[in-house]
Amino acid sequence: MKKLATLLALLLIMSLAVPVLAEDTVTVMHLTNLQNPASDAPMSAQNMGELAALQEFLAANPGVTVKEEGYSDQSTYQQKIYTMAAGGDLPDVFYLKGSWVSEFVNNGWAVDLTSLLEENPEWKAIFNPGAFDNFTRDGAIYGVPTQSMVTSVVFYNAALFREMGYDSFPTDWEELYEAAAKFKENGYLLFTMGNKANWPAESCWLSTIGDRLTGTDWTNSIISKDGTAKFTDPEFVSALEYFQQLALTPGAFNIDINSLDESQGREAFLNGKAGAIVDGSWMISTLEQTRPEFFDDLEVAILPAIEGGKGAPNTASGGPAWSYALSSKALSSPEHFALAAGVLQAFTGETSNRVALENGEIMSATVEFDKSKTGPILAKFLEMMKDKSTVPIYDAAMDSVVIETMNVGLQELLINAKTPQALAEEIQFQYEMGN
Amino acid sequence: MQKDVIQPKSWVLGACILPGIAWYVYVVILPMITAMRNSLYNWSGGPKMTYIGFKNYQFLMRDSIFWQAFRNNLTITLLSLIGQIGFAFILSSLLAMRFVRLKRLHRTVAYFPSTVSAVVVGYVWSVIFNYDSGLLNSLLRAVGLESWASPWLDIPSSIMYVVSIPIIWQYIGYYMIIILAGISSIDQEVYDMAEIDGANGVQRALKITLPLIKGTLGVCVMLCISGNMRIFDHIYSLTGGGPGNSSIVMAMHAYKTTFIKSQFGYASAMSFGIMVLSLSLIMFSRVLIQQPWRKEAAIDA
Repeated sequence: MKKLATLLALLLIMSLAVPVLAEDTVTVMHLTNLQNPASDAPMSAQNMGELAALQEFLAANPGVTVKEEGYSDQSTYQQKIYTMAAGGDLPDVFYLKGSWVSEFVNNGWAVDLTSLLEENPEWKAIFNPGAFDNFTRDGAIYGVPTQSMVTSVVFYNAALFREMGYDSFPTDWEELYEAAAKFKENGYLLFTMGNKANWPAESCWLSTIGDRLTGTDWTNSIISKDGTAKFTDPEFVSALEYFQQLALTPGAFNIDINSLDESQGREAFLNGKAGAIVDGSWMISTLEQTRPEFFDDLEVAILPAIEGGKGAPNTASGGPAWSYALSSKALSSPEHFALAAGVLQAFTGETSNRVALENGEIMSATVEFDKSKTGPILAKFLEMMKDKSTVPIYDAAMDSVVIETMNVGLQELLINAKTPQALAEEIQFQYEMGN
Repeated sequence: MQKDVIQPKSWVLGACILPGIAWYVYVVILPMITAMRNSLYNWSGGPKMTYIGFKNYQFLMRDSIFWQAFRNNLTITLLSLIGQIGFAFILSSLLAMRFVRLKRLHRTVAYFPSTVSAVVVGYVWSVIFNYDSGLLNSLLRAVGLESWASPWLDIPSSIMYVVSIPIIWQYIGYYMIIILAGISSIDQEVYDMAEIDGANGVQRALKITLPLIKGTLGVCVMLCISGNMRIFDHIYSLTGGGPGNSSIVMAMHAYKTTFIKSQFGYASAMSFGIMVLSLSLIMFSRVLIQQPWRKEAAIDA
């Protein structure tokens, strides 16, 4: 009996010792290629920052394990995270997109981070004004932003444009039609796009074209669901018309637009067969590392102005689309929550942002960094954006049901299998269903 | 007494199959009942569920994408019935002939595609159909048919025929093996007699083989329908349902509704609809094959 008591006492001491050593595992799921050394894609600057911050965190917290699961593809990640959420099996820290926030909040899957941010004012202070907007519902913050991307950047081959008789990228939409004809005549394409995953047409093109025609007030009204703005409004329908008319102009796009994936879609631009590509600012660090042949002639611009539109001409869709969030799993014990919050802070903190900025990423936070490391394309981009402002990215701000209908419909719109009016009605129907 | 020795008591038999039944109930029946219950709720996967009665089913009846997906499933099924079972019948009739050499090699080669993962098949064929550098267009350009080269996966009007090709190609060998097994059960003497009477190969195939393997063909038809009603991975990797929704199938619509739109309740109603449609189609095909209204056919069966 005495032996048993000693044993129990010993066990008790051991169990007490565990939290002192803080031996715990924090689970993380996000979009990254940092866990996949076999991938030939260069590591993104944001991932470099996260890796550096994670190493700091692990050094400061011996005994803690961070179990990471990274996905390099957005649709796979989306399916996985939704399945885990529905099964009540979310990791402690996860990557949350702006358009998913409503669902994650309504179902109680994401934790309110407002008080955590208030308790760490020096952390909250590094973020730019408005950075939390896409992740805030009813005044509570549910995600801490990472990249502040511009989803609609025109990367163009200035040498090829000069050959076609253009000193710079056209600044008036009507000029695009003539340019397409000129490029086609000489055996080139004006633009190239790989829209198999169906979000590029909406995220990189329509978010900006839409704003040119409707103005930002319309978009904000759609997001806040105040009932004044409709997708069937003539301004939005005319945005779809402009996009369709360009897509149907011979020479403007590759004809296999919907069957190429994102990287296949970039090929024609990188090997000089297409004059320009409209892609996100995330492509900058890729370009700096892959260096196509015309690297010195690679210039950046925004989509041209559209006459008669309600929106400002000097804007591009942008802002933070992704954030790190904590799941209700992290609340299991105060110690565990502190660790999970520590990982969240590391991923979005000073080190992570500094390393990412130094390697050419645009972040939602402003921190001191070594500007001499900035590559030439990023420098051109920052210079170009100086007198520009950003407007909402549709898929970062609108609900996923609406976005899915829009994305699928755009594939058909671009090949003239659907009229702008019909697509607008479909989107409006889904929008009303969701309210 | 002796009967008891070989025949175990019925409770022993029951106990032996109980684990199997229990497992089946757990993985098939129970999820089905849960799905049936979920289909009556407005549910996005979380703790909040609102009871809405049969609203999901009403919406399903009016969901044009679902019915388009059903039509696409029917197209694939019809093309597969003709392509897969038809080709398999021709090939196996040829393989059953005496003068064909290297029968084992032919059998293995024809069966090989069925062993490959559908995702791999989809990927390989998406490379073949590629507009700029695909095998098909390169071949057309090489023989001077430049104008025939098309972006095969980008034309909504013909996309269902294009995506059916890999599906048909993959499973010909599978049905060939089943039909060959059916043919091998036919008495060789029947063929010998027919040959003496002067029947040629085509006559032997149509007048002897076909009627005698009717049962086997019935099984093939059933497998073909049920297989094509739940087709998913080929199309997912070839087109992802695109362009737009033009190559969407029922399983993919249910999948997108669940994991992209996270309408779990509605997706449950949809899966239930898929089950009802597939079962009625299979039942319909059974009736067509057995033809109970024909007396002699009824006796055959």
